[in-house]
Amino acid sequence: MPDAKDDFKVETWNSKPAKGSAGKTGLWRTFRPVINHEKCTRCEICVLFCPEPCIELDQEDKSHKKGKIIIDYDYCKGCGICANECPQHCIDMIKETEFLKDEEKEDK
Amino acid sequence: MVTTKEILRLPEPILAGHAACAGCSSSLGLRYALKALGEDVIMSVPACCTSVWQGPYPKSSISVPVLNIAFAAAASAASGISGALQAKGNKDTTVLAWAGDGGSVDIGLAAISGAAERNDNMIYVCYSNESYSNTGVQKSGATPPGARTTTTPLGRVGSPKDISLIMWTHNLPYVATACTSYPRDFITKLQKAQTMDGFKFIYLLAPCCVGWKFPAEKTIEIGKLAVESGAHILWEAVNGDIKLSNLSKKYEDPAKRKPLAEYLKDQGRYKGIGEDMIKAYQTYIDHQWSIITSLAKISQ
Amino acid sequence: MTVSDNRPKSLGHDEPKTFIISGNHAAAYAAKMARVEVVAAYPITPSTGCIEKVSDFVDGGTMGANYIKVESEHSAAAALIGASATGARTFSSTSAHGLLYMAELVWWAALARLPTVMSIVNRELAPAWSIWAQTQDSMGLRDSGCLQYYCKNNQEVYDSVIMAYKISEHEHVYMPSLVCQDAFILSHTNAPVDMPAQKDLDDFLPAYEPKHFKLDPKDPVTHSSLAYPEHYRQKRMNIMESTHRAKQIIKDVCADYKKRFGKFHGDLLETYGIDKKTKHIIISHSSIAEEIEVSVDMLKNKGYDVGLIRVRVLRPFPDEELRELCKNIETIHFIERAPSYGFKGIIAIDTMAALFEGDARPKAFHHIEGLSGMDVTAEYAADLIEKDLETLK
Repeated sequence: MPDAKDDFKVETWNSKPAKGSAGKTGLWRTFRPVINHEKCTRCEICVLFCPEPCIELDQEDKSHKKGKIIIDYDYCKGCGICANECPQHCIDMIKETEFLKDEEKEDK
Repeated sequence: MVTTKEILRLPEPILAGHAACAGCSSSLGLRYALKALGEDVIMSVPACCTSVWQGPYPKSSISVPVLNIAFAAAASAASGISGALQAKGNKDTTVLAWAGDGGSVDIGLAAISGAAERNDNMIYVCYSNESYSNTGVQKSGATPPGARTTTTPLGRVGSPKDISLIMWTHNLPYVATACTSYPRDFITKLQKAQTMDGFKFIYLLAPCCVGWKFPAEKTIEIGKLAVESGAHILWEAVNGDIKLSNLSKKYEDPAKRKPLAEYLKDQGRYKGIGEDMIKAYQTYIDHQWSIITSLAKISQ
Repeated sequence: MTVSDNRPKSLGHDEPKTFIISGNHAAAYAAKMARVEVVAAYPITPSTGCIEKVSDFVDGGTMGANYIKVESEHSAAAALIGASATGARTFSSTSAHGLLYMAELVWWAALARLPTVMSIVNRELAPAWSIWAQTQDSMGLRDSGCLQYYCKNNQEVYDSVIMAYKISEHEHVYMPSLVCQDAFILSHTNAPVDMPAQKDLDDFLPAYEPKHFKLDPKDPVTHSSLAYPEHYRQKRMNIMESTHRAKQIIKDVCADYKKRFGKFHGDLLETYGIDKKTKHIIISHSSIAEEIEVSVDMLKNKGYDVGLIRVRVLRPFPDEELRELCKNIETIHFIERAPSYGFKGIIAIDTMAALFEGDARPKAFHHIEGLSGMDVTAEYAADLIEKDLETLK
């Protein structure tokens, strides 16, 4: 057998379920959704309509009644559906450059 | 009908960080579909947006087994999966064919028709963004009148094929239409389909912010307007008996519908499209309503 | 509990038996006795006899397969892929335009590493319509990765289908097989076919258990999604290695089959009337080659030093074997049904490429014969060779 290695194995295309199949898709984001947790009623409409999905209700977090809505900014692409659908209008879409300024300030 | 809270508590089948465009309703649609159907599911996916957004090898954003297959072959590959499960005495696993409108209405139509005629056991969901979005938004057989695509730069002439009604003529146990903006309705329909044997078909309208040229945050809003303007009629047919879904029932009266212009105003694909084409779209919608309501009356 | 208890039903003969049947029926019997679990096929002349026989078996309750009566060959191959990926042993049969219509999915099955087996009845391609023998249909899929066997008689069709499962399902192979026979000459002509007892075949060919991938909700994988070039090279070279390794595996399986059941039709190739001193070699394939065996006898009687090589397996190609057999010859005479338009016969092209890696440079004579099932009689072929040899004088 030419070049036959004893540990030869047939290889096929088995992709395993994992987060971040396309990497940290949060890097795609132009606008960042920021929740006003004081106004938020934890109705979870944002969780329901998130296409990523990267929003969840942390029921363990006792800082607010019924828990706290958290957004995974590693993956949030900033589509803004959550802000658009929020019945309380308590999610603001803020330009990422604003945060860059903050980070620069911190750096200084 | 399933409640929103119940949907929220179902396990998350889609893993964040996939390759879909921001605001993609097809990833949202599959999230609902797999929430509805559970973990014991095998999927067949032809060339479509989902074949891209599931993510590149060696990772996948879908947590159930998926067989990617050629463009025209979603239904026939699902027939094979279903046939193998049957041969092995597996009556539990649900087979889900998940294909776009191009892969269903156009190139895959013969295969769906064949699988439906054989009544092969599967749920076939055609998620429709009304164009070949994945290849850069070309006109498909599901593109509505007047819509601008990269192959209809002056607006689409003629009418789309109504794949749901085509499937309805196949004498199937279950045919329904749905929209990603109404997860409760869609999930309830899927769960109903899952209890039945044979070929079940659901046409899922999935607004595409890239193809339809509206701001990504309006994905849910646009889908709701499609239903509220009467452009997309929600109905279901159990053993052929057509019934308007509650969400569409009130729009049987044209006076209650929102104006078509309101549905189209945020869609860049209709920007600058002439009145005659918009009129043709309205005529098409009215015609669809007369067919569906007539069939619903016969079914009563 | 024995292994076979879990397998699909194959009610038949418990003892070895001989049937007088067509090539199509030989393939159908083989699929049944291989305990195929899913069949998906669409009618096309002249392969319909095979799927009609499968229907008789399934509806008659002697074959436990699920036969999906698809609406096209494209769907037939897609269904085989779906079923094979779900862990079922699968079978189909088609011909000519049917094979071309499913070509996209034949490649898919190969590149997905699915060990499905199909019985191909080689038929001429239109236009104009012709239903008679020609091998361009499957030879046109030469580069797909499918293992391709070209049979000379009905017995070989039966044995090759059985062996094809064993070879395709070998843990180092996992590529589909096309078992090919000539339209009408084999597909519709009855001849004796010996079959072993079912229990002995079961020992030879155990139940199919996927070793590398299966659609299973308990261990979910996404198969064949988008991939980047660095992975492509790795997976494609893996196919290259598997198909090269298949050569030895084919030899081993054919030897094992011969030992168990006494049937041998050559492995990668079959020789007739060749010894170390043979100066002139005819290379042919399929049923034509069986006829040319008679030509060889006729030519030998006339004093010509000729022998025959029948290329039984087109992929993987028997390159080393041909180099060895041809190293001392003076002339090589190709008689084949399938041209590659713009060059030469398909087997000639591959053979010449194989010889180029050795030192032998025999003078070559090319004959494209038997198109659209035209008879290539022993006399006709002998005459062709004799004329070739006369030019050397």
